[in-house]
Formats: sequence, structure tokens, C-alpha cells
Amino acid sequence: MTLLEPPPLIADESDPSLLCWIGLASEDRDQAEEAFRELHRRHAKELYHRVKAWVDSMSDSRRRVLDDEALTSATFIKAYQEAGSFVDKSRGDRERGACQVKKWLFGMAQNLAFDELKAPRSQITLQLSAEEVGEETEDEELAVPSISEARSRQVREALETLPDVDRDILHTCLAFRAFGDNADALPDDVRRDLLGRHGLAEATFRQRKSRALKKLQSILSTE
Amino acid sequence: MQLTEKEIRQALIQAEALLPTTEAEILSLDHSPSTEDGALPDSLSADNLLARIRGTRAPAKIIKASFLVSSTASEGLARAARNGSDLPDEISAKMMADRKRIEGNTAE
Repeated sequence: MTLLEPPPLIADESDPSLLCWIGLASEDRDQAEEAFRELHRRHAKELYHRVKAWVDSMSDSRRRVLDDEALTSATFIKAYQEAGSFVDKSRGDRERGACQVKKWLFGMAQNLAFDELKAPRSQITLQLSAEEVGEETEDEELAVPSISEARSRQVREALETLPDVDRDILHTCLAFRAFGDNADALPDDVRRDLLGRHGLAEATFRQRKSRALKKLQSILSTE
Repeated sequence: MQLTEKEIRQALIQAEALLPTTEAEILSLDHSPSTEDGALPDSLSADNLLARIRGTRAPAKIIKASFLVSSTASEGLARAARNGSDLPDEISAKMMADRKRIEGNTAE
């Protein structure tokens, strides 16, 4: 930008552009903060609402420990700090850009939560600058199954009736899209934490996951 | 018909029990009930978050405070777990003396 150009109207900027301005905080802090306020205005309510509902749906042992407000706060702070690392793949498509930024924020919230849950309790102070940001995957499936609202509610209610361990296993595996008995997509550290948390061996974990899924499917098939 | 894991995941995302983490999942929620309603807690206002970013306010702890154990305390607990059954007599006596001294101070 040259000196002759007027400063951009932040409210008109796309989400990826807002992150770009935030990423330039070391050069123009006022503009970065203004961009952050706009990003916050666009996404804070939805992020908080979804994080709160997500934490509420977790197994008792996790829900008692996680603070949804602090998790939302940490996500925004980290977004500010990591904004420069966001890769804009929207090719100027404003809606796609907004979608990618939401994905980035939700992924960050999920990673922060699982990182904190597996951290030793004596070292839980947030290390905001050292965390890894939600990774982008190139081979995402473009289609998602179509599920009715009523069916969605049934699934959630059925999940909540499962014993705490089964619920935790399924909820965690599904969060990472770790499908199948082996749940291969589950990150190693999350898997270790899950096994340690419930005192399970790897073989038992696989059996337990399969059993939990069948139990859930059985509850749903009778409804 | 039984739901597959992918269908269960999508159902849980729609029911807000999981966070959407792919573009397709986020797009599938565009016509879901709005999450724009409801106020934000004061701690999540842009001003408060910027104050934390500038370092003028302490960061919030994701793990609730009641579940935190200080490193000194956790080391002590670990030592106790390892050696609790065979504490030497002199250590036990010193612990009892310390306890009495502290209780005495508290009572004053």
C-alpha cells in the first residue's frame, strides 16, 4: 500500500484479509486491533455458542474440567497470535474465505481443548505461542451425509445415555474423524491420553470402541 | 437402517455436540438454526481479549481452577504415593510435630 491510497475500510474486508491485517500487527498495531475487533464481531458469538455446546456434550470427566469461556478466549488470542500463518485458499471467493476461517477457528478450539486435557495438571498454563494450529487437510471429503434435525437430536440423546467411558471414546474418535475399529486418524498423543485416562490396552480400546458404536446404533435402531 | 460413523458425526455436528472442522461440514450448517443470538460473557468482549493479547490481563485457564494442582503439591503427592507405606519413624514424628505446630498457630 502506498501513502496515497486511503486506508481500507476494515468492515468491508473478507475474513482472510482480516487475518492478514492481524498478521501485520508488528507493523500496524492499530489496524490489526481494528481487524481483530471485526473478526470478533463476525465470529465470537458462534464460536462461543458451539464451544459451549460441545463441552456440554462431553463425557462427565472432561466436562467437569474444561472451561468453555476460557477455551473460547484462548482460541481468539491464539488466532491473533497465529493470524500470519493462515493460508488463504479462497482465491478471492468471500464465502469460501469465511468458511475457511471458521474451519481454522473451530479446529484451533478443538486442538487447544485436547492439548489442555492431556497436559499434566501442574503445567497447564497456556503456552499460546508454541501451540500448533489446526492442520489443513487437502483431501477433505466434499460431501457430508444428510441428516434430519430430529435424527441429529436423537443421536445426541443416545450418546448421552452411554456409560462415561464409551461416550468419551466415541466422542473423541468422532471429533477427529477417526472412523473404523482402529481409529487410525486419532492423533497418537490423544490416543495415549484416552487409553491412559480409562486404563485401557490398545486391543481393549478397539473392542470398546466397536462395542460403544454398536450400542449407540442399537439405541438408535429402536427409536 | 444403521447409521454409519460418518453419519453419526454429522448428526452430532448438527446437534452441536461436535465442532465442524471441514469446509463441507461448515457449509452444511449454513441453514441450521442461528447461533448468533445470545450475549457473550464479559470475559469474551473484544476489549478484554485485546487486553489479554497486550498482556495487561492474565490469560484465562482452560482447565478449571478447581482441578489445578501446583507443581510442589503434585510432587509431594507423588512422593507420598511412592513411599507412603514405609515412612521412617523420624519423618512421621516430624510431620506430626509440624502439623501440631501449624494447628496451634491457626488456633491462636
